[in-house]
Amino acid sequence: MIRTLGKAAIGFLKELSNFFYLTRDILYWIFIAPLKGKRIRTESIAYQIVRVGVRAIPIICLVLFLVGMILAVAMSPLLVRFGVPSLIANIIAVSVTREIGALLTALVMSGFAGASIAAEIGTMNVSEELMALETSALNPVYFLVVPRVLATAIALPCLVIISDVAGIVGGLITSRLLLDVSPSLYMQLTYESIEIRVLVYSTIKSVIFGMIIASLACYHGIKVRGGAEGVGKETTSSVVYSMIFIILANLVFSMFYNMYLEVYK
Amino acid sequence: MEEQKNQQNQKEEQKREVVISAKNLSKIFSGRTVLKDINLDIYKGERLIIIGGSGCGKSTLLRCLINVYQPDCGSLKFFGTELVGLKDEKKMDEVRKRFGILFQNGALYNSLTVGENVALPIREHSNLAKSVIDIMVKVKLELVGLRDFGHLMPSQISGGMQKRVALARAIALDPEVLFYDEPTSGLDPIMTAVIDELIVELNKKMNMTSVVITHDMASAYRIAHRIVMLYKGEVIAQGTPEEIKNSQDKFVQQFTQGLADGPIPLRVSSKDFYEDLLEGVRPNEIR
Repeated sequence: MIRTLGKAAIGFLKELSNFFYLTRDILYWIFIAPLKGKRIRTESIAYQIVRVGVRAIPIICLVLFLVGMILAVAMSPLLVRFGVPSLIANIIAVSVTREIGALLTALVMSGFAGASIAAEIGTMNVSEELMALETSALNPVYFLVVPRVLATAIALPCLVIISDVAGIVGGLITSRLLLDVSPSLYMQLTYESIEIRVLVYSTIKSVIFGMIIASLACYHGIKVRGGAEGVGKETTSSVVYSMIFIILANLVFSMFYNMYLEVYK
Repeated sequence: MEEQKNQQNQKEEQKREVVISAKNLSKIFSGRTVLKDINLDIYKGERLIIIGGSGCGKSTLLRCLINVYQPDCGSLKFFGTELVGLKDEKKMDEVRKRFGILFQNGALYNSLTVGENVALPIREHSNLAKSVIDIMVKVKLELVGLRDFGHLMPSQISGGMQKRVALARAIALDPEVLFYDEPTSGLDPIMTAVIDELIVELNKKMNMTSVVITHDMASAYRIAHRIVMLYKGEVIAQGTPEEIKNSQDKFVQQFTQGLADGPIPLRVSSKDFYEDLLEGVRPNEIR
């Protein structure tokens, strides 16, 4: 029992130190290497933004549109009982822009982009492409990991803004149908509820979420051993760990927001 | 007479430039010794073939030579630079630029076209204009007979062609040493002969040192200046193709002649079969 626990603890620490080294390398190639004249591969980043970001727009819109509707449906009986149906606009605007938009977009992206990146790098690993890069004196972190991390970190805030709009529209349609709130009133109340600092907070949060998703996906891809089975296993791990770390990071962000940014009226 | 010849050979060897020198190289994986005290000098311009059965340590040796695996003990010098324990990535990259590798499955970058695969190392390690790189790519592809295939994706060409593209990529930076990891495995006899010919041609035209890992004896005899045989992680024989062909060593004979019976066992279990079968069974249970 103690031996098993010890082994598990050592394994966990090893994983942690490996991930730390990868993160250190990523940060080096993003912030320090450009100062030494090593350019950031913008064409590769643009390609990855299209791959992981643009192609995710339909699924993100659909998910947040439906979540906006669900929120409106769930809240409508309560708001009718209290006689404030128009409050639905404020509730949806605040919840979507502050928490739900960024969180759900990141969770969807961990499955959409994270799994795809982990499987791609894992397959490259199995087919010796990573070794081919390394032995050609081409750093795999610089060539493969950094463009993916930057692309996801850039794409995610944009997707969050789109998802916020989709959630608000979903709420608007439902509140029009169920609560008879006029679209103009809904939009006016929404506009009044959205604060710039919340949008900035949400954007910063989503950049961090993007980095978590891509760096974990790349880490698991690089870790792949043993062919197709290994690729499948690490892809699943990448999605699971991404989700856990995103939720944990969101919790930390929420606490930070409550401590420093929330203004109790 | 024999002694004089040996002495002459030794003197000749001393004159030739040693490109790679391995001394007492060992590699251990999870307590299992995969390479044991390998001593090997590889000379400039030579075509060295490393042969041996599956699991004898050929690929591990190759990975140690290209510094993908760090040996557990011993010394490995590449053009005089000690690679064991070398932590300086910049120095390592300088060494890496001096050799090329043809991987067993080609290891082409699937998201890039054939031409881009060959262009990538040139683009990243030089400041040449795109037009010049395009010309160089054409030259490299012409060397392997695939000049018109630059626009295709790796998935659109056959396995043999992929290997030739991988070879073009491996020679993109005109390396001084070229490693081949089972270059002819999975290829038909004609394609095998084509690859063998390419290896010899590249060696002659570019004076490239070639280190080939294979278990295809026909290829080995066609290509080799010198053959080294590994068995259980140790060098058990080395010599010219003629010497290996005429070797009286039972292990070498079994391998080179492809015999099922011989000193190299089929089974690799450490335990006795019957002991293993009956392990944990009580005597009163087998009646």
